[in-house]
Amino acid sequence: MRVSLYEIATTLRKASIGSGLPVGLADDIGEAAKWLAVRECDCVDPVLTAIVAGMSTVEMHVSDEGTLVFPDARIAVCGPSVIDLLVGEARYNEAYLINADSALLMIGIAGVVAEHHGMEFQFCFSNGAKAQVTADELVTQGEMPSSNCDIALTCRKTDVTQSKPSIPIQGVKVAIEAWRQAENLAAKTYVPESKKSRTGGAGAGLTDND
Amino acid sequence: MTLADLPQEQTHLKASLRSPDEVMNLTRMGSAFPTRLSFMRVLVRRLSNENAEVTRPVWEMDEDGYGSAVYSVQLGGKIYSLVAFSTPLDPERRTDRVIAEAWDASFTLFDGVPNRQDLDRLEAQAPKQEAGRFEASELVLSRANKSVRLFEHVVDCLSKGEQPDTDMIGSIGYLMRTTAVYGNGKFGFSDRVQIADRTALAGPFQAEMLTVWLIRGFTHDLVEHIAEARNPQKFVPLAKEVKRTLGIGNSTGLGMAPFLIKHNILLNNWMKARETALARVRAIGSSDTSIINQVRELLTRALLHVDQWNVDDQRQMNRIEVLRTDLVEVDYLITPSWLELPNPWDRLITISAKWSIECQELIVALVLEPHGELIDDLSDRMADNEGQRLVPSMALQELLQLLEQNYQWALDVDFEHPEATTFFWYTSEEKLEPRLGIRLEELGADLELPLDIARQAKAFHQDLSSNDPHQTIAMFLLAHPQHRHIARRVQTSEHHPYSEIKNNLIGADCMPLDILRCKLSFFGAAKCDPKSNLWTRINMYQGAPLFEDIGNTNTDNWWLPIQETAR
Repeated sequence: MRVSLYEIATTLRKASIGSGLPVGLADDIGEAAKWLAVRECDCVDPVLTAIVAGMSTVEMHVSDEGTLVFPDARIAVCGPSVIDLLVGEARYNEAYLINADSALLMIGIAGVVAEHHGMEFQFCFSNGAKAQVTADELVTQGEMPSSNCDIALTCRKTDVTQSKPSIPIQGVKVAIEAWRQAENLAAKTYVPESKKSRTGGAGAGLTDND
Repeated sequence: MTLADLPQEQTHLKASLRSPDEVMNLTRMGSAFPTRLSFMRVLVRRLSNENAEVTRPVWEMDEDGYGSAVYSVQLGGKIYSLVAFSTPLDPERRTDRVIAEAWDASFTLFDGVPNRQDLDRLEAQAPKQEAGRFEASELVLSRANKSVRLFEHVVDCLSKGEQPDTDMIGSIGYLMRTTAVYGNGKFGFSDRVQIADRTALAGPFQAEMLTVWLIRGFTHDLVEHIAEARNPQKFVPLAKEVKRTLGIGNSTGLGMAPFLIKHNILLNNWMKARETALARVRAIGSSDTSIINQVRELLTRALLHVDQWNVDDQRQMNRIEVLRTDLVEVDYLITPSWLELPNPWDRLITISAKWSIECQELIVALVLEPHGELIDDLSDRMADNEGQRLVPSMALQELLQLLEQNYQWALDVDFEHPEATTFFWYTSEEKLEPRLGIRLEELGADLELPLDIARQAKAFHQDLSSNDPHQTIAMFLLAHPQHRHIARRVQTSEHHPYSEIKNNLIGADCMPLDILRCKLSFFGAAKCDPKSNLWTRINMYQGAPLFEDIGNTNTDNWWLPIQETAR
């Protein structure tokens, strides 16, 4: 089936909240998914893989060489902070993510920030694949790992913030099964119907044959 | 507060914008009136400037007015088509609720001119509304129900060769009311980003406003078609003056509130445009007779408009009655000689503080109205294609400063007091309708929408205060990811001073209706008719030009519509 970018961002954002993630992280995940979709990357499975385990505490330490190390890197939880620290803390310019669960989502999160702050991110994956993310483009080399890989990530400032990728005119193709799974997680944010709650909506309490 | 970006020759007055503290509270937002920067006005000006011609390439209606129609209009070099389907509806199924499943009419705004295949597809999908599935060729989805009393009355009159009763036209004001107008990528149709660089639709809600204007014309045609079929010999068309008085009704509920909270840069841009316009006008040193006469005429119109504004809601009716009294005083004060003295508009705004807030806000809209040449360019600055961004390098002490500067209204709330958290906002599983629950009486508070901005700001302040002030927000959020949402908003407030409604939106005194009225005034809707604290009926395009009026002079003179016969 085909869905719009709006549906990608909102459904996967809600799915993230439905999985127990805080709103601020869910916002980032929705935007990252949209960024991936615009670049014709699968975005639903990478998000589902990352959010299904819900919220957890992030572990991080700094190596002797000054590299940020995230053991057992759950991207939905630590991904935005990895990028924040690389962009916002001048003393860090490299991060090492061990056993990362969703390489593509990490790329999407980096992509959004590359646009916002004019950054370039270089990804080296443990399977030998590489990716370069800038405001303008995503360049990959080798097959992107789907899950459980180590990622070495560096960044530098480019000051290029204008991104003009071509928007998929006919919407984004998604696998129905994965999409239904995302919708089911999103549905966990909805409050079940009750008689009292019905009285609060627009049009309540009037005859409409007037 | 910064100086309004005034044309250089006017900066001598040093007019400044009204402060966010003054503007961004629900009491004032809930007293807003449409202005010439409202989105309906912006659209009609563009239609007029481009001399846009509406055609009706398809009209396939049976004698009872059931069938399909297509209206096409060229705007900004592109053709857009309203595809309309009119279907029989059992009165028992007619409801304005979002939870309805059938309507008298359904519509899509099609990007281009639909072919037969498109029409067949849309005929199968559009009447299903939220349950339908659409393609990127569709820009907007809407539906409407008849105002049964007025619709039948108008058909009956026209079929007998008579014009409808003016009192009935005046008291109802529309033949159909829409119950939802969806845009931006919902249900599979086109994302806003696809049209954001088209000049004609780049402004906020322009595709939606175009849809509603075309629907209005459709309702005029439909009522005439049925009347003519009923009695071709005696039928007369609806008089143009009556048509202009008929707008499109709308039932508006809580969905607008979460939208404005979430899209806070958009809210900032709307507010800033209006406030900048006001500052520009206040900076005018003197006005010529022509402008003064216009304002006098507009005030006369405002008096009539308010006189014709009657609602069942006692809170709003009380406010209208005070407004009527205030406007008489305004009328008495602003004689031509008073307005000929220096700085007329600044003096008027300053002195308006003695009247009700409804009156103050009406005066704001009034003084903007004759100054199109000075302010209309601001309508180009009301969209937001950027969104919020986190600045990860910001130190906590800077964030604390921003919080204390821009969120003091939130920090002052005592959240230990039960009344501070009386309500919670949520999405119902029933058609995903946004609703407001009472925390201690209803289930669902654990699924609360993040509209509790004041509470988030206060909790953020507490945690920021107990951390190293030199730490970056990047490091802080690693340990406190629950504050990521509010951190971004607080940073946004630095350069977007009108981005936050300065009220506790879960407090016992929150009036969601005020948020709705604010947004609806930016749409251009007047005569807010509250049906509870949670929803309102309004009228859109009442008094607006008809299809055939576009391109004629004076198509921009429909601020605060009045019933024609009352003139």
